[in-house]
Amino acid sequence: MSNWKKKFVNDFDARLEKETPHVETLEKATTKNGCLYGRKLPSPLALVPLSL
Amino acid sequence: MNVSIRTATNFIRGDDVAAAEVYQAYRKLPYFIIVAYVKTKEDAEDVYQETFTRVLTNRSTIASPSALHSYLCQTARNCAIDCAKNKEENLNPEVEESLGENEPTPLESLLPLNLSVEEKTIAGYRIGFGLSWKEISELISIPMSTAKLHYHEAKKKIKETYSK
Repeated sequence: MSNWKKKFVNDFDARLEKETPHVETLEKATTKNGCLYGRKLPSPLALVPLSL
Repeated sequence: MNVSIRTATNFIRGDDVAAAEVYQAYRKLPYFIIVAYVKTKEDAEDVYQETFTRVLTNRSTIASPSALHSYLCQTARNCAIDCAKNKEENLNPEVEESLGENEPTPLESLLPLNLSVEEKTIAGYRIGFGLSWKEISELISIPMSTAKLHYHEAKKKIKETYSK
């Protein structure tokens, strides 16, 4: 793929990722055993601020 | 198609894990199809939710697993056209004018380039998603030859912008 096409695709994909809304019910369905399709979700403890 | 035939088959049968997989694989394309028709982000979001609701509700009616891709695309297109028609019928000209002044359309947010709506849409489908000319022609209801002409123009402008 030529350079300008790569740049365009990267730019376009980044914007799409940011702008595409989420369908809540389907987002929930992707969560199986604390994993979001291969990506481990943070444990609730990780969300507690360190200063506490 | 962005998912395997097996996943598509399970999806049509009502499997929720397959539904999640289909959603992950098809998160972005329906949104792009929708923004080619609607003018505000709010409408795009509503139509996007409606698209997935319709697809999930009617998934048992999909003729075959290989038809899933075009079923999803056509549902997004139909929902967006319905929304655009509704807006056109219910909007008075003063409100329409003020809508245009405020913020960029969702399509402009995705592709802030000096291209026409057709050029942006076709460039997104062809370069961004790698759709075939037949698919593009069906999605925007224009002949393949016209789509190729728009693409040629878009490509020149995009190349100029991204070669800098």
